[in-house]
Amino acid sequence: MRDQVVPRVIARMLIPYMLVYGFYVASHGELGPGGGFQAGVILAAALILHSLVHGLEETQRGVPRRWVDRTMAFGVLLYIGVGIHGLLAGNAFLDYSSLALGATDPESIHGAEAMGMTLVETGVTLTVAAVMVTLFDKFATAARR
Amino acid sequence: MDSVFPVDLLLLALVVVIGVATIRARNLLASTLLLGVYSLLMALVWTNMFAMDVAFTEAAVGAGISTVLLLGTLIVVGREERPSRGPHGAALLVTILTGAALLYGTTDMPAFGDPNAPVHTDAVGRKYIAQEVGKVHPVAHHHDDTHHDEAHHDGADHSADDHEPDTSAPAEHHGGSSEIHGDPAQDAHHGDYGTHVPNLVTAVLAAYRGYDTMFETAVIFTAGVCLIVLLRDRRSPPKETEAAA
Repeated sequence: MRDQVVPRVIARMLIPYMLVYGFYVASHGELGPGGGFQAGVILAAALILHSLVHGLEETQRGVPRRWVDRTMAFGVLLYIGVGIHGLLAGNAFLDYSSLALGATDPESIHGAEAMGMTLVETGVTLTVAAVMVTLFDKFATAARR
Repeated sequence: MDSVFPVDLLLLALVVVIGVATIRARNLLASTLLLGVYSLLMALVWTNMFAMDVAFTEAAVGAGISTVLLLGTLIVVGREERPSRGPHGAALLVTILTGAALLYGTTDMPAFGDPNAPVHTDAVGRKYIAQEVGKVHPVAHHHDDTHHDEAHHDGADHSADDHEPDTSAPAEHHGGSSEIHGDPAQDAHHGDYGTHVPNLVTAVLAAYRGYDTMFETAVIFTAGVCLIVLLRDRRSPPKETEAAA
């Protein structure tokens, strides 16, 4: 599709906004609608649109496959890491209030809870985005054979 | 009658029409695109029910990614469906039975928006809603609320039981945001679920059901790993610069 003007121009206009919106949804999951899963899907959709228009190789030059694979694992590790941080701090697994790092006033505790949720949702975002990109990548590669 | 009702009726009628059209279309490309339309319509239905998170997911996953992936599949399997030999008896029976079971299940559910639904009366649900709803800045106002409530209780005993939020809201409260009183979140960490964020859905997913979401993420990760293992390129070398696009 590289030599068609309309999809190329539209993709160029849309992709930055899709990426920004994806990050917005990821970081505001605890305030408004949305969350990790949706954000991951939106981010993946931006990358998929790019590879639909410019071809898979072009996308993979910017976002190499091995980094996608690592992101996939990193997301889960981030989620579990937040949980284990709670354990190490002497609280329950996934107790976000331990992210207050010792502070006990309610403001810090509530901030830590929101922070924990954001971190966890970021993990979900990264894993979902990476898996969706991989899914499309594998389908497109299989279709080409 | 609810003013949203005709809109809902129209949307649901469209959903049924699109659903039937999806099944009947012989062209798989048309089928796929109709499925996308179906998801968008369902997203509108969810929006009408104030289920924003569900609508969001439906639009992003159902209409967005699923359509792209189904289109990717179409490239592999071809566009035309093989002509079928009439309806499949057993499949039809199973479908009808499942549909009937689901419909029977809904008769046990509370009516939409029922204030006596378990989610509103159950202890956990009530605490949850009290912790989140309408508190855009729970951090900044938490302390003030406690003091204010106590003062109000002391002074207002004689004035029967008028609604507290109405009498005291605009001046001292934070901008008249609808806050639920008798807030269980105020007894510090006793019965606290550690979820002082405004979006109830995120609070439930990330805190109350944090383990659940963690393992869901693990499932998605496992699916991704399986994908890599099953569909990896066996023949092509890692450095591929083919001209094919």
